[in-house]
Amino acid sequence: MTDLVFVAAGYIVIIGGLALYTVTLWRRLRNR
Amino acid sequence: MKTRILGWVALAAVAAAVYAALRVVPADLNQGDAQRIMYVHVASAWLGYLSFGVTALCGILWLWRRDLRFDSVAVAGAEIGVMFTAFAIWGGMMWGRPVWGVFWQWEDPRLTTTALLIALYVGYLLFRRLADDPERRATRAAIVGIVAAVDIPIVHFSVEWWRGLHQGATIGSPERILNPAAPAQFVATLVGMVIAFTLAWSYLMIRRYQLAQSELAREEAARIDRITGARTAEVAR
Repeated sequence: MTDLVFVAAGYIVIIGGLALYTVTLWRRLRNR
Repeated sequence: MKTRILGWVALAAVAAAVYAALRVVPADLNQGDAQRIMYVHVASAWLGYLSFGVTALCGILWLWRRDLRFDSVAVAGAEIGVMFTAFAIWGGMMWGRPVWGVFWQWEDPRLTTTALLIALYVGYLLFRRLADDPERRATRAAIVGIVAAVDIPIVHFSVEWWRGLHQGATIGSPERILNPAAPAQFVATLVGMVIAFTLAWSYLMIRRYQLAQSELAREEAARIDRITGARTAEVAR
């Protein structure tokens, strides 16, 4: 059960970070 | 249009690979659920290597061909490489705590050389901000990018050259590639995640390259404006 906390933390940061970077990049490109 | 399609394909591939890693593949007998982090950790580490390799290669091509498009690819590689290396470090820490009992250990050569790698390319990105002239900036950055890339093989082979906490290659070595040290289902999920992340990486590289090109064009336009403004002022005097 405690392992799942680490799995969740790992995936949330990595997939969330990927999504955040993609959206930021896309918005910066659109505003040009 | 093609880039947009690539983006949607990458999104679907990442979603499918994450679903497989979290819901389809069983927990490992020894590592339990923590093993699920390996899929994103390894995929991120591979893309860190690839990105910095592209930065170094484009640095060489800039020095050789003097085409600023290579510098735009180089900066895209460095920025995206820093992001993926940070993901690899984070994933490794989240796996390390339940399996090794520690988040981080400075004595481990793989961990320490990876920390050095990310520091070198963060330095590369900061260093780029010191020069205003695009060509001078590209030349200086190319040299830093090429020198920093020396650390890539050191990171990769550190697990074979020195003893540490980090395990050796599971599939990524000549003797392991046909005889992986993990069940086929785990290896297939890992390969799927690597492909999905590489598609996402390709999409991001194209978009970041486009942004770098647009920044360059804007910088050039501002420079021409300044020169024209100075000349007009001179004539008016």
